[in-house]
Amino acid sequence: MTEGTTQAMTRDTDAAASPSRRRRFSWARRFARSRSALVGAAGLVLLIMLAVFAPWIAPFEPNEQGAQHLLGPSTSHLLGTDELGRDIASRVIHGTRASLVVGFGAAAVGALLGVPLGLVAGYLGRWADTIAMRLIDLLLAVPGILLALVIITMLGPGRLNLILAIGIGAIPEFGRLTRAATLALRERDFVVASRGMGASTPDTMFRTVLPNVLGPIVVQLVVTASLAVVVEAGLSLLGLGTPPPAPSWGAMLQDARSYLYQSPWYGVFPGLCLALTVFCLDRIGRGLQLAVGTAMTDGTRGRTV
Amino acid sequence: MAHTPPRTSRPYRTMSRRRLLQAFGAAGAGTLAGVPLLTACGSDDGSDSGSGSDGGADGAGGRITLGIANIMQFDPYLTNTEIHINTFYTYLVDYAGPDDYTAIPTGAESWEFDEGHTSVTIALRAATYHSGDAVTAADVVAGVERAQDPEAAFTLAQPSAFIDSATAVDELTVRLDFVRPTPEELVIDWMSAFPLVPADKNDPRTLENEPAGSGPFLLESFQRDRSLVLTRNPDFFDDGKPYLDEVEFRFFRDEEALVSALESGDVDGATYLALRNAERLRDRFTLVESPGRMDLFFMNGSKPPFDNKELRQAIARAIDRERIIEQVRFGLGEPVYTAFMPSSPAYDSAYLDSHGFDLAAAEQMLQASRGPTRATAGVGNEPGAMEILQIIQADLEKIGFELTIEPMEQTTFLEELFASNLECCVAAQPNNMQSPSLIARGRQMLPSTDNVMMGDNVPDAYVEAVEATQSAVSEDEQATAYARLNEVLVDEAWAVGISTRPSLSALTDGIEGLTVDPRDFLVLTETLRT
Repeated sequence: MTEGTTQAMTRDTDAAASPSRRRRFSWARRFARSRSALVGAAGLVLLIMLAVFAPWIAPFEPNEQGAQHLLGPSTSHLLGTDELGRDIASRVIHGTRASLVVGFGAAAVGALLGVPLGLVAGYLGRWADTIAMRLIDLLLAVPGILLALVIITMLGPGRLNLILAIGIGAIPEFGRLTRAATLALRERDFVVASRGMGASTPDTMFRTVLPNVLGPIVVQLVVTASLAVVVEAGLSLLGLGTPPPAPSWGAMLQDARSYLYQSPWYGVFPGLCLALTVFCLDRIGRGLQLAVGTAMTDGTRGRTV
Repeated sequence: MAHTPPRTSRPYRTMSRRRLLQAFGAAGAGTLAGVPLLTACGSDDGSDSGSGSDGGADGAGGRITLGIANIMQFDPYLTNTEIHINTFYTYLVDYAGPDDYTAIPTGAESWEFDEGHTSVTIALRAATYHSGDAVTAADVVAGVERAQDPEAAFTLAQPSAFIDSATAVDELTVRLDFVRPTPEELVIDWMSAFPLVPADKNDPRTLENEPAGSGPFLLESFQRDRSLVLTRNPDFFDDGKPYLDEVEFRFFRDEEALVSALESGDVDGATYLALRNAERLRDRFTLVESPGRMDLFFMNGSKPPFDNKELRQAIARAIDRERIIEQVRFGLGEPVYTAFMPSSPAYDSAYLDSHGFDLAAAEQMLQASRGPTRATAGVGNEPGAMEILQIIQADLEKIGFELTIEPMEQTTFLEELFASNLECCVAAQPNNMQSPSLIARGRQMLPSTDNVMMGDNVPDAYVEAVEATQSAVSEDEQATAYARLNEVLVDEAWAVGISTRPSLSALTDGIEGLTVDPRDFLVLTETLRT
């Protein structure tokens, strides 16, 4: 086979595949067209880099107490020092880890528990739907922050417990969203065909329906992460978040409240970082919502018949 | 001719979604970043305006408003931290000042010890309670009976342990017989803490919501978590006092809100402030400082890991008192090695050198103890406790000991502390005044198995040393007993002193005479607006 023939065949294969690939990645192109979403994504990447490379980027160990306390910003301590002489810049950088891990961890817990619940409720209907929805109603009856407070009080403060507490509060959103999307899909031709061809119920649910409802779930994941970052800060502000001395923006804001007169700048930087993270996640969520919302109308994804 | 430019109608400008989002984004970021700054400007207690500064003329009368952040109840037998208690009750004696233990007769007009120091006869002053009933010796007898029951009167139970019986000699004379010869200082300290309460009202249920004393002020109104209003007691035994007609305590849940209220003139004074506010207020307000209380690091010797005495001794050497005073107490306060204030006759500063901060020694002792190298410290919302623990935690980490800090609600913290569940913690201890044996009155320091930090392991040597201090009458006996008590406390090392925690109040110009007594109670009897 000559080289020219090979190239021609490759072109033919690409040409045959291109409509499907174009459709598959159309949401990404739509997302990329939103400038604010791109700004959000860039900001998030920056924050993730800070979190991952914190030990190399931070000028000091976050818990090192060597310096004079409540110093103002200077060349030796860019953002000053806290009440125990720790470098605020280093703690802000390391605090990114707590916020992002708790934010995305809680969203993941919410999705891992809420999505199967919604999928089962929407696809099976009848008694399964009734049980799942009453369970979700039960969770919805308690405000999220109160639920998190109760769980933290029972389990005690700690990053893992924080993730669980916030994540459990996010189950209803994922459950209801997945159920609604599944209800819309379960009688569509490709789902009926899958059942007709002998696919088992779990197979149809997880390999045929789930890939086609992933779009809104991803959007919800980002939105939940954004909310979880704020709730983590709120719980830390109440002294129920990440235990000391681990740095956390919320805990830093809580500590800073007591030293507003001595060092007004202390709380500004954790506050700004928190605002920046929420802004970035919000922009990404908004961009994804628009992109995926349009893409959902284009056709089906995953295993189709 | 003046020219008026024609008014042109401006076209209606629409805002694009992007611009709107940008505006919201900027506003959101600004708000979040500004939250800490704005917090300082607001009061969260819902207290509205009105400083209540309608002062009286000629230095007498008038009204003041004081801001506080403490919770409260009205039973003097069940608390030693409620600052307003002093205003409702008359005690048998008062002390002249925070560090001056000259006894001033108040509820008692005079007292006389027998030669062997085995009893004291107290002549009560003819006075009346707020209800109009007369003060009688029977009230003191009933009060002593209640004071000796730890269930009904925890605050006074241990300090009253030296009393064998109380007898009403006549209507206004009462005799206390002691279990053993007892030093005068201990009896006078007890008298300064013993409130006069009518016998028929002296029970926890009655006093929980309504005071029943004969003190300088009457209860006018009380709204829990909002305000407490007191009015002058016209029948107070000390003619002409108190000077003020009315005092309002206003409650603030947030310290910053309290200070802001003071700065804005919303209150005339702020009491029991965090020490970090001293510099901020010093130039603009009159500051009242007093010795206050002590911070101690307690280790639970009744369970692992601190049932190992050598381990406790090692940890005790890793407490950097100077740094804690500098960074947590902003330079105010003095180092202590155990629960003795520097003004206590048992205070021996030599222990600060021989058993002071020395990480190298601590590391050596830690290795020699062969004990576990990790523990968990519980912490509630005791002011400064979290910061103190973090300093200790960082130092312990340097010598290979891992201290985990577990924050908890204050109520949970106290429950866990009293249930002997905490491995270690930082907690406050009151001033033991002029009687070192009063060190044993707190739950963490009881000379019995009820001690929440030592339980069944409470050292016999400690029990004996406390008993010896309680019965040391002569100077020589006292010197020997105090030295032995110090020796035992430092050796057993479950209650390691950190520093004193002075009390700080700030008053606007024109308010004078507010003092704090050795028990850390506010004294308002001679407070006036000039």
